[in-house]
Amino acid sequence: MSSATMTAEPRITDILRGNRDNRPAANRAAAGHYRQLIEGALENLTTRASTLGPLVIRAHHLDPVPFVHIGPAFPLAQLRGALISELLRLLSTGQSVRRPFEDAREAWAFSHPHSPLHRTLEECDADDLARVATDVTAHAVTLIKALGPVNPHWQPRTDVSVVQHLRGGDIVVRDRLDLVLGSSREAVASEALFDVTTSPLSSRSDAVLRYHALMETLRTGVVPLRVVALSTATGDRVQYEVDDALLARAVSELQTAIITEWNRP
Amino acid sequence: MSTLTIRRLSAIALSELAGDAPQESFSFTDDHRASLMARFRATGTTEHRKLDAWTVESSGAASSAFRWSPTNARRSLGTPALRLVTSGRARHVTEAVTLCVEDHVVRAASGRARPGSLSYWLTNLSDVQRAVVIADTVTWATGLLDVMEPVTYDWTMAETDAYYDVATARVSLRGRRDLCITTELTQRVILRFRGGSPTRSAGMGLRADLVMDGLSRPDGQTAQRFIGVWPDAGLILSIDGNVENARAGARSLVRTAMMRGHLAQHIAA
Repeated sequence: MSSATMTAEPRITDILRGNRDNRPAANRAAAGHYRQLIEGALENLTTRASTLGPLVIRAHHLDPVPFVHIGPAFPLAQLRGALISELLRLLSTGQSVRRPFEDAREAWAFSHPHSPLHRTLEECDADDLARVATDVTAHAVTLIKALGPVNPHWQPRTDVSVVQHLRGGDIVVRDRLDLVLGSSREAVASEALFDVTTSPLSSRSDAVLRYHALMETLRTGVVPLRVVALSTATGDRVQYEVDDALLARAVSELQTAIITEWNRP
Repeated sequence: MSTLTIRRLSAIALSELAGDAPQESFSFTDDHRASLMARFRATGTTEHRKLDAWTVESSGAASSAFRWSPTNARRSLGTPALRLVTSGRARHVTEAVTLCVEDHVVRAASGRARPGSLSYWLTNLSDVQRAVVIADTVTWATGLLDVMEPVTYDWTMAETDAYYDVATARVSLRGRRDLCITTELTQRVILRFRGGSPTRSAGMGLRADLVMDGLSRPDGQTAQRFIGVWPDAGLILSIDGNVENARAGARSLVRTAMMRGHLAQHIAA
């Protein structure tokens, strides 16, 4: 895997675009190989009761620790993450954000009218709401400061859905990419993926970035240029150039996640 | 044969599917239309039924009342926006989508929009909500452009969907079509872009779209090939415009109309 850098200086959009002269040729041959690798590891899985339906895998399944709700603050943390992602969508279209919490809340309520998190918001008393508002605003300030202007010529896509069917449809692997810049159709690798998280960066965020890179490779058939994550909790960011080592590790992590979930009682 | 071809999505695959499409395609004659009308009439209900590929794929399940949302507005806004981009009247997708939204707002402000229309809905949104609609549409349209730009044949965005009312049967058909590829040998290859991933009944939906597209034309000629593109899943499904697919598509529409009729009677009872 190529080097990762942790710095607080350059803007995210600058990191995502990088130096155009240093881009490798677009790799259009790898996707099939990685798909075969994933499928190969799933051949020996035992038969699962058909009544269970397909096994759905998402980024949070990469965590070796089972996904659990940790304490009463968990839904609020989820809500904060959803609002910050929504804010990123507004910023990517050039919308000026003057009231981060109110704007993000309005945008989120509009685009996710049936989310169970609405109940979380309704259950907030005035103090809770004030706390969430200031929390979201602090994260938004970090995002706005770090992101930089998104040039519309870079073809920004937000909240991009990826879904892959494996093992003849027994397994459905899903992903959502916060922001994608660039195109998969150019002669050089040009697609850059950005993930924003309201938690501090950790080994888990690295695994999620690798997962994003693998999923986009399988979707488009072209290996993306790089993946970048920003923690709005700390302002830290991490970037990886997408190469064979990164994708091979992502395949291994995905296989482990699938086998773990498949065998979970 | 009513074969359904499945390919991984790439510009090469799309170009190949367009390039080797059959040169001949099935045409609906007046006799076919009369026969179809009789079959729809025989489904035995006076309830007005609106059918599209989705109702076919969901076996006639009742859908909730239509309401505009960012998800269903993106196709209506993205299609004209892509026309602006491909004709050079907008520099990029974001500008094109913004122009289209502004056009709708101006139309509504000048009293040229009916209640319930996209223009009317957009006008009543706040700036933030409109930005969400723009972001959603830009993502949809950019994804489509990303797929289509390297395709080696000429393509144009569809002007409208395919509409066909079956006379005296109280059935309205709406076939969705997003763009049309024209090659030197074939006249029309129609593409439809879909969200998510194809279901087991996606082929039935494509055949229904093929039929509705053919019926909507005065000459009744179906497209040489009808291609469904699922960018989220990176998959392409395609069918040829032959007699078998036309027959299968027509049958599925009649069956869906029958199910809709039964459902309406059940609800009424």
